[in-house]
Amino acid sequence: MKLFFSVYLILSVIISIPLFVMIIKRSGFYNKFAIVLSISNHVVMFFMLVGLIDGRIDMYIDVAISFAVLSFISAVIVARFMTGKGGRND
Amino acid sequence: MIDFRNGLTVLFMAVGLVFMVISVAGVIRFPDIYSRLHAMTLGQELGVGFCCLGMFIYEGFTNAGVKILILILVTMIAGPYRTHVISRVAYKESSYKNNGDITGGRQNSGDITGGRQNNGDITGEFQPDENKIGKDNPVENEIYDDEAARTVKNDSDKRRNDRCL
Repeated sequence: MKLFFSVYLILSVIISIPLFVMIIKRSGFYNKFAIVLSISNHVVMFFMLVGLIDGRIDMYIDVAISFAVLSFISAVIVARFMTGKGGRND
Repeated sequence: MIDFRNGLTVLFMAVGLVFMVISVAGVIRFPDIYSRLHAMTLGQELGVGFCCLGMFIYEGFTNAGVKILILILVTMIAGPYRTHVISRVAYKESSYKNNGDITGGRQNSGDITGGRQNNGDITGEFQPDENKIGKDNPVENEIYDDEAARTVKNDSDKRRNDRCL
């Protein structure tokens, strides 16, 4: 199964390369921000796969959960900053 | 039994990869932020969900397996809410900048008549008299109504933007 997980990891990295290109090519804050959040899901999967390949999934799964929760909180904070008091529209 | 479990793992993870490929294609190809967010949410949540489900089947009910279930739960709750918040903010900002036009200036957006101004006359025979002055002229009345509606909409947008999310 380690071979399958390694191939899966390489494929998921190849899938996320166009997203990095799109961050540079797309214009506008929200486009770039949406793509960054999309990449964060890929990173969560990346952590899990590295944990499975390494054989220490217990450690990597904690990092993945922390990363998922932090990306969610950062998205909410940035959205609040863009519209709330002190944001662009004030 | 182990072969069956490994087969299920491969199957679920392959399905997750397919969903993620579709999601990336949608993020690249779709024209505006709302459809891009739609593709991103559906594809990514299902992709990560199926992938983690495959990993859970591989691990079984161990400590790591239960944590994987927690990760699936966190992803499924956080992803749609995150997308909702971002699309709401993008809609607010676009609405505030363009006086309610969220299409970014595309022509005839939502106007299925293609720009004909016949005041609901689908026969195409209605021709407003532009020489009429004042409130009797239906074209000017329409302009007045539009301006009044736009002013009210701007005020309500400003009030909404003053509040936090």
